[in-house]
Amino acid sequence: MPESTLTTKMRRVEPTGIERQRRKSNPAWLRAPASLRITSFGLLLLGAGVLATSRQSDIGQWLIVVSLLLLAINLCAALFSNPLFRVKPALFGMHVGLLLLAVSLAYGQLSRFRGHFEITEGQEFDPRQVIIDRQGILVPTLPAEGAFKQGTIRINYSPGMMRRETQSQVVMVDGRLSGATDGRPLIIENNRFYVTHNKGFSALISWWPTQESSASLGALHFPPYPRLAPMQQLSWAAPDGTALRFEITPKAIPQDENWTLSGAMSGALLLVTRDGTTTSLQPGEILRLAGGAFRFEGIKMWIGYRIFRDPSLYWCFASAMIVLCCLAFHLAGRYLCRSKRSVALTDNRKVNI
Amino acid sequence: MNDYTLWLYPAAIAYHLAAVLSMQELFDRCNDYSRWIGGTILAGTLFVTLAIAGRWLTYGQGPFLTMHEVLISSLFSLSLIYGLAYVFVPITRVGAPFAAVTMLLLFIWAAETDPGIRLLPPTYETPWLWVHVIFGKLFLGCCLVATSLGVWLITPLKRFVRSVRYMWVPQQLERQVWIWLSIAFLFHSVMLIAGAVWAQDAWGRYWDWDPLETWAFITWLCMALALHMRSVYPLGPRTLSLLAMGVFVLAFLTFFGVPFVSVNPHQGAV
Ligand code: HEM
Repeated sequence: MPESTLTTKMRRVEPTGIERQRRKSNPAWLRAPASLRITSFGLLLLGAGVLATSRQSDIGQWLIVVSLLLLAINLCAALFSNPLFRVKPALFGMHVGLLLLAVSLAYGQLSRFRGHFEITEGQEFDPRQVIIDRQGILVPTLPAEGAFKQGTIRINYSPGMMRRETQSQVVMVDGRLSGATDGRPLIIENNRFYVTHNKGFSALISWWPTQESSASLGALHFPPYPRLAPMQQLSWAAPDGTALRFEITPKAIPQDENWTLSGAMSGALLLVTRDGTTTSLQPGEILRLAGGAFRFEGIKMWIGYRIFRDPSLYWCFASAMIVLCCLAFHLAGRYLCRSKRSVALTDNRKVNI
Repeated sequence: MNDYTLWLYPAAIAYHLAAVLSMQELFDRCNDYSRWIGGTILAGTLFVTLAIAGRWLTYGQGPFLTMHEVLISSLFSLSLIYGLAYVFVPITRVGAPFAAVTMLLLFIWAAETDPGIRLLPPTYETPWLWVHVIFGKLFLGCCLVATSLGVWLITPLKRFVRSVRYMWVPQQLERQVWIWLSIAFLFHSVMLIAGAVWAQDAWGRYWDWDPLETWAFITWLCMALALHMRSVYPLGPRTLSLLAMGVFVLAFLTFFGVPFVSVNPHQGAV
């Protein structure tokens, strides 16, 4: 039979089996939005949205949202109306998993919090110092002030500037020791604190105003170290308005052995320049200014943290696992249990010539 | 010459032989080369394994970071998966010319790159690295098998082939392409999920649309699209083959192109 005749005949064939059941048992208003054509279109739209987003185009975000909505409606309709899902439970489970994943991701978008902050050894966590990068409309709560105190910070390096493990110790509010390291965040009240590669030295200064007997203590962060090793200077205006310039001269970075970055690398000497005159201060020494005096308390390390909070994380993981397991079952059922048709094909697999 | 390069010489011979023999078999009506082709591919895999294992023992870290390491470890997994498919699933043998030439080119490319070592970042010390990398390699391997079958489905060369071992019913070949693509889709999904878990632990975000993530997701979408289109618009062998090839090319570029040319690379890969 010529191929064209065959195609024409196939097109005219009445719907059978599953397709007939689908048409019979579902009203048109449910069948139409469940069409697999819409799925293909939605997936294409999603791809376009992803590409547009990667090119920093604003329209990309909208394309992603619209396509996901379309796919979600399409999938809901199909889950109710497509009889194929009733005869293939693993396929059904996989698509339900996909729907759950989409819902979890959407909830995550609305409730996610991302921020960052820097903290010095010995300092207590202060939520007011957190710089917000992203905050969903379902407002999350950050841990309270003093939820932890920053302990020692140690970063191991291979010869030169090859960074190895970062170990940041913290003391919890109940006195328990905890910490964060690469790949293992500190988790407090569902907020995840990640150490970053951003760290350096900070000078601890206490300021004693002339008229008052109490002092205030603060930490001045020098530029990141060792990334900006040659630029360990900063400018600071004292509370009485005097302009000062601080500088430290850390020890040389070992080029041929492993080394550890800690406060001890700093050289522990603070050079203070005022009106062109430089004074060097040891920890505990005092410099008097017009409106008061400041005491150099010593050099510590500071480290940058990133905070991430997303209550949907475990839901996303669980739904992704449902998708994977059901997909594996579906494919095993489809291809490992050989159908009568495929056995027949295999038996005649070689064409005699 | 160190032990590493020493093992790569016999591997080079094995991959060259596999490519030449698989071409030769197309036109030879009398002789069955399949034992030799399967043998050379698996021998190539063995030599590359020995090279990688020796390097691993010497430096104490696996081939996960540099371009050379990614190429050579992918060559290992591609030739292992294709070699096993070749031996145990006879229908996949029709793809040998494409697969063997691809492996040879990958070997030549790897040989051109700097085999120097770079220390793994501390974020690589996680079991998720293993899940991510292993399933990525399995995905690429299944893609290679699907594509090699797809290439055979549409090659005009078929008309001139004399060997009886290449005479398979097109429907069987199509079915095989679908099987390998579906398995590749499953492995790719595992790779994406493991990568997201790893990224969450390492950098505090599970997905950030960096170039590698974007292209990996687009590859995944293409496969999902193909699996659905198949039910709506019956795809002919030509479209199916082009689809399999498209997925392979996308995956190839994502694995070996994007992390090494992008100005804003995936933090984990380089
Ligand atoms: C990105 C989202 C999606 C993914 C990754 C996905 C994945 C899959 C996979 C792997 C299969 C099995 C194909 C096979 O057995 O060869 C499948 C089948 C199917 N999907 Fe989806 N799907 C998605 C979205 C949807 C949506 C939105 C619908 C809504 C209509 C849908 C409806 C179906 C149906 C009806 C089948 C059975 C097709 C058949 O075997 O005839 N899927 N899907």
